[in-house]
Amino acid sequence: MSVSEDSKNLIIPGDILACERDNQTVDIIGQGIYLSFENHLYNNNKLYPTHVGIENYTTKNNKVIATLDYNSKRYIPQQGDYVIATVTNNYSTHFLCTLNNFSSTVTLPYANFPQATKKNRPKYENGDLVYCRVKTVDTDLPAELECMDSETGNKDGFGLLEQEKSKHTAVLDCSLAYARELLFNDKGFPLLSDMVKKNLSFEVAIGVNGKIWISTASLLETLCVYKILSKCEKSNRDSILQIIEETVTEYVKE
Amino acid sequence: MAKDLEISNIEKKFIFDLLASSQRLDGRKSLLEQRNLNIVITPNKFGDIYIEYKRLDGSIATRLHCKVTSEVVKPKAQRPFEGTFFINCEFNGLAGLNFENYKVGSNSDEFYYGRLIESMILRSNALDLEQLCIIAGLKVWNIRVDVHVLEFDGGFLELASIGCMTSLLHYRRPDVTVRNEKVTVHSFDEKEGVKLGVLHIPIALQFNLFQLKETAEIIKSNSSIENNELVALDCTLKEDLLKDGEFIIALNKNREIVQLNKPGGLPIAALKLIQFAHMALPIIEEITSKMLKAIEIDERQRNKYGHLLSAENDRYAG
Repeated sequence: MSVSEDSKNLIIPGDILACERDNQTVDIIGQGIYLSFENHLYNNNKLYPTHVGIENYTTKNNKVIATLDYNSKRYIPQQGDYVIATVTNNYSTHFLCTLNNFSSTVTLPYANFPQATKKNRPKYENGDLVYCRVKTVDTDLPAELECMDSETGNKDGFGLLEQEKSKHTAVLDCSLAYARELLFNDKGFPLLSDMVKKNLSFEVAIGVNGKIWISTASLLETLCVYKILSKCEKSNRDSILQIIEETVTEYVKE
Repeated sequence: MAKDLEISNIEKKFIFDLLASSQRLDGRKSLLEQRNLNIVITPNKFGDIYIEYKRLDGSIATRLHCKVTSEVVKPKAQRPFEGTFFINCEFNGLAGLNFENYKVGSNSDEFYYGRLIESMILRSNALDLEQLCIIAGLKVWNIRVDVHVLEFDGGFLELASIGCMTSLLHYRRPDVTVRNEKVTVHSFDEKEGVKLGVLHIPIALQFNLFQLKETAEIIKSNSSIENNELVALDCTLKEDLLKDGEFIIALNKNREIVQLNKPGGLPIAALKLIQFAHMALPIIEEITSKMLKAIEIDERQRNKYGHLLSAENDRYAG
């Protein structure tokens, strides 16, 4: 028996997930689902929903991925998430970073950079933004980030989000569901491609911890992109094009 | 557990660049533009006021609740003819997670701004304390204003001063009669409440200063320190964390400067003081008229049936 891929049930913490009810094995768990280790010996670990949301099952490479689509402002690190971290302090072995305002810190060890040696350590200042991935999450320890693909040792696009001289950069805080939607669902929510179609040229990096980094050539363009992204968070999907048009004429008058 | 607001270098630079080209992150197009002020007076209550700053898109940025209460107490020994007045400001986790396990000390913001407003009202004699005396040396009224922050995105000082003055203007204390040293406090059903003696309406305004050139650069090039600042009104929380100095001025609409405060930070030219005072005046006038209008509307609501009880005859002019 397999869990149907289009079952869209609203789940409240305390409910039983469909995969749990049907005894379906899940290979990868995503956001909003907690794997309880309470019966480790008897190999009957249980999956529990941690948020209110819609459960979602997809199959990729013969692996069933279970996620719970929910919205929240507070990010709780989960393994494998692509995040934008702010460096707040550095020690002899690691950087201390925050993923969220007002939340506990996470670590970014120097060993988790490509070609790391004892002498070759990255020089980041406090307040720099780093694009990285959550490596491990432990209940008793701060989460650990990595700045490379640990399987291949490549850089893979991770690293410092730089502030180039000729460019204007900004970072926007948004809700978690919005960041995920922008990152993973470009077909269903084509905001970024719509913006490119309107002749806005910009670089963007999205962290699922609710941070969007923008970089464009001029200050007003950056503000324009910033405004579009923050306005579209709370508006209807049909009005996206209108918002883009209005904001572009307001800030970039050409 | 709860940490402070962390602002990344990129965000810092972005906000500062925007200010330098007179844009604001919340959509305002000028440094001297304030957010929309909204005063909500709770009906059927005296001196219970919600006061808020609204962003351009209509969402609430900052929201305060001001409430006046009064009780009969023994006066201070040095001032037997005067009532007492006290402002209690409170930030808590409701206003933002940065205020969770926040310690109230002599150097915390709420203490500083609370004292500032209290001294603004007391030293300028805006609230007549002698009217609060019931029996000299024995019984006086103690007026207490509680200011609670319900939502916070900067602009606390202005809102708190407006809120305090509006609630003091609006408040009515119970009437008292004294007979043979025996004090009777009448409930509002027995006797109409008595308004507090508010003699004038001071309002505080905070000018936020941002440094344009680095200090080292000025010393090197030996240029003057004048015009090295950006002046912004009504900063948001993020802008507030980035500012290099502040200048607080309290004025009333009679063009009297009640209080000046420049607690360190970026130095400014002395003549700027006058310039700031002139800049503040139209803003203060506008705010004062808004306050009085809100109270007048509320008064009209309360006395909806007042004309039915009136014994006045209709008069027709000539």
